[in-house]
Amino acid sequence: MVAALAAALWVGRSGAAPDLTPSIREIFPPAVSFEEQGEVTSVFDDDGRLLGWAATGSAAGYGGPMLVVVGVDPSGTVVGGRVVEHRDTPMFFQLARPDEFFRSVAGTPFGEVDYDYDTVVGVTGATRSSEAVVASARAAIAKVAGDRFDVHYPAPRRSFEFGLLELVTLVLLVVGFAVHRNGGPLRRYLRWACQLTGLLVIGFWYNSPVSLAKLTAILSGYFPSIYTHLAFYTMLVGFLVTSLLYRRNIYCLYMCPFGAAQRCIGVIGGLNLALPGWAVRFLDGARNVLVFAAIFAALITLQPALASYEPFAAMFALTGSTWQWLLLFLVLVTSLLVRTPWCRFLCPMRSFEIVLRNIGQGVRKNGAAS
Amino acid sequence: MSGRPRTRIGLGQGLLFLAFLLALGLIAAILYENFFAAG
Repeated sequence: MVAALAAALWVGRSGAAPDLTPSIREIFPPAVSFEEQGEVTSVFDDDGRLLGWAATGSAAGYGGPMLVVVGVDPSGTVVGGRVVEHRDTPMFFQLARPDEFFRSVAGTPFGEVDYDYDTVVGVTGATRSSEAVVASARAAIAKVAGDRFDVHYPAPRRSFEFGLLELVTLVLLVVGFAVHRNGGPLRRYLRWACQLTGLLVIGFWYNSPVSLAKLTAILSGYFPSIYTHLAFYTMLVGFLVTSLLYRRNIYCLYMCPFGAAQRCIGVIGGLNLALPGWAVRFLDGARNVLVFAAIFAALITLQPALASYEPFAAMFALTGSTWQWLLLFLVLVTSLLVRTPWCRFLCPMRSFEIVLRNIGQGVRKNGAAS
Repeated sequence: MSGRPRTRIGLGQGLLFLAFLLALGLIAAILYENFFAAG
């Protein structure tokens, strides 16, 4: 299984580098010939007249990296830009409306480009993706400015983003770990407090639960920046480390907003129907097959964002396809009949949890035997 | 009394199992849409 996934990743990664020519031709319609000089490509028309220069920039979006190319004419005016390639979640990429950003900055001298997405394009609902468009465009323009106009912009300073989401995930991890380890009479109440906080902040406020897309991105070798994704790494630690150590992991028990939502509905239903062993084994197997297929397809196409099948966006951002809405409805209704049905039978994290738990148990058994 | 245990399930459990099968079908449809229909 691991070998199949490794082979899929190898096939995905061995694809040809993206061809910039079509995008440069769109930016400079009369372009006929190109001359690469370092990081900047000079663009010429039919008569060999210089039309301008093009350069690429790259940055991380919501689900993966984005590559853009920007054109600047000999007077230093931005002519336009295009997204050449992206691994972002399609929905967020569309919401970011990168074409609108490039249309707005076209005709502006490179030193006067307004990089404030909110004022240029308006509120998008895709913060990470729009930030990636801006950061990539800025990097591309900086290359042309430095190389052709001797105007050097310092690289943007990197600092940790630490807001409410980061604070809450960190507190939930620490509290969850302490409560899970030590138990105590307040355990039940503390778990409810943690889960409701996760539901409100990680779910409804930020819509940032750990998803199969993000896990697949990591498997494909794309690690989101720790400066901007500290909350994600906190949740990942909660999931990975405690899956190896315990029977259940801290993320699923104390942080996941979708688990909390099902638990709340379960209180209303008050039922917990049990399925026979063969049915549980069948559902486990079918989920594992789907998760494997999703990861395999995502690695071979190098599109980790497409692996996600969770109805999180429908639940927390009120957006999704018809299938996702139907899945959400079904899960919420079955939550009335059985406790946390998604977590137990359908969630891709469950497949990862079982693999990690088996690895942890194997290591402990070997350690005890030697 | 001996022999294989019977695996009869009640109506509620049967419906629940069908609901999970439907959910798996929906997941397959979402993945198909992601990789093929959406291009």
